[in-house]
Amino acid sequence: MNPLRVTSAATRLAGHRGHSAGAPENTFAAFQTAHQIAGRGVTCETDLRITSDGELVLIHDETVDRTTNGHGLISNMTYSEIAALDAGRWFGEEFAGERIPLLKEALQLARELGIIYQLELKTYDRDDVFFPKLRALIDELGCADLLQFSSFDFVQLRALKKAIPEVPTVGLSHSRLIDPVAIAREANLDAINLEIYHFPSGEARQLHDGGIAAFLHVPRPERLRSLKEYGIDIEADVVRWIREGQLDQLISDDVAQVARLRDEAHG
Amino acid sequence: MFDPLPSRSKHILVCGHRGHVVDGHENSRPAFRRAAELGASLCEIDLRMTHDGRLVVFHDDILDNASTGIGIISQFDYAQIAQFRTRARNGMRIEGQPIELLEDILAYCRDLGMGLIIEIKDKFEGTAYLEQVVQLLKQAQMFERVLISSFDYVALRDIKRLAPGIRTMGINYHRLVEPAAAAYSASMDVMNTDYPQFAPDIAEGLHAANVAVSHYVPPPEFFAIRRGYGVDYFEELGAHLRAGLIDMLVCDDVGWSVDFVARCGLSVSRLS
Repeated sequence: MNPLRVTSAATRLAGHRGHSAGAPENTFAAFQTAHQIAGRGVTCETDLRITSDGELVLIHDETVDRTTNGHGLISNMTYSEIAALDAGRWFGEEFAGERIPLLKEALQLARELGIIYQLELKTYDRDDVFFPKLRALIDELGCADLLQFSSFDFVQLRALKKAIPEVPTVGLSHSRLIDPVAIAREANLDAINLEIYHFPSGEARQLHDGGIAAFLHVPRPERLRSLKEYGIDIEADVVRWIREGQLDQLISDDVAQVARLRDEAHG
Repeated sequence: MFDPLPSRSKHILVCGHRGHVVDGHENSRPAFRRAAELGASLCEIDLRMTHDGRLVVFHDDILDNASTGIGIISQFDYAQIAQFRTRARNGMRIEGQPIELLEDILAYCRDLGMGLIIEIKDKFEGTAYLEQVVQLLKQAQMFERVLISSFDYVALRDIKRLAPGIRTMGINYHRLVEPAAAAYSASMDVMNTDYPQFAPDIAEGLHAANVAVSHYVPPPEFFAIRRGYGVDYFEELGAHLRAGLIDMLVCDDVGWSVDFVARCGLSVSRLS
């Protein structure tokens, strides 16, 4: 059985970097807010990087410049340097004091609240360092059930599945493929995250026929507003796709948006 | 005509992404003219269809972010679109240009001696859209000097069935296990992989299947912060170029690309 396939009524909700529309991305505040909105079982998509002294941390960019008060490459900084940075104030004064989380701490939070992390590996050339560390941490915490891995690099996901078979994998695609099932199978993927622009073309149905889950990233409401004014209602399409059982996971920067869409589909 | 695999002879195609766009123009004559002056082999352009079925050269589906108009292109007739002018996305002050018909841009770029990559972005049923593209290429005598590109591999497969001599390029933002198999599924001539997913094994797999390798690289400004911290992707990119892994470099900044290619000891491939 594919662990990422669900029924129409159970479409999973996810926040991109946590509830990044309302809290600083990839912080405890963003993960906790996602949980407050969508409850137990919410997925928080997040990004994995490594410090110079080998600690696994959650941050999107290669540098700390955009999302903290510091400067520098994560891979050149020690964890104690990273831990001293403020990762919240850039987003809003009320988030001052947020830190770049350690993966380990975030997993402890996930166990407590019932969060699943969709962990994107942002480093493509250091599998020999990342894989054993992930393997060891998962064994130590017994937390394979709290994780799924995602990447644009399907070669990496295939290798990761070999190293950690009990964690499902999600391939991220911007292309409309002719045979998405073949692409998923050759990389041993459990899901493919489809681009919304291509979604109406029917790849989700192809994936489901082949036993692969279909995920979708929805742009946040303010980015859909002008299209809606011009008569194109993307959210109405998404509601229909949920109702038709075409979606296994729906992700957005705004968790309240995906919760609302799922409620509308089954209201 | 294209040399399909210039990397085999120390050559490379240099492509301006929407033209030479770092001066604020994109998908318009000044962007193409400047690209040609700086030495581009070809430019990439984007297609959109108007309400009355004319193909225009413009990137977005909505007018709002890069023109003086507002609304969705497919809801306007061309006569209305023609009244709008382009506007720089980043707020740079430019002289607004008309949003032009594909046939006019084809003629303009043919006269500049450049080839074109034409990206299919619209979604459509059936093959009428693709037939119209092929017909315009033939009328403009640009069929041999154009590469049709898309993220939509079904559209690429279909246009190749309609016009078997046409060259096509799939756009890839991911690293596939078997890129050559995906290329084969749509009979692609070229596959493009964007930074940062590019890896030598992608190029080797494609070259072994006689598929050419294109690589989109963001402009140098994108890398400025990282370079300040001592991480330089261009060193890696230079090694890929010198190793003959890349047949076409696609970038917003044609001047930088031409210079970089020369520093790597390669010659820019010209369409004869």
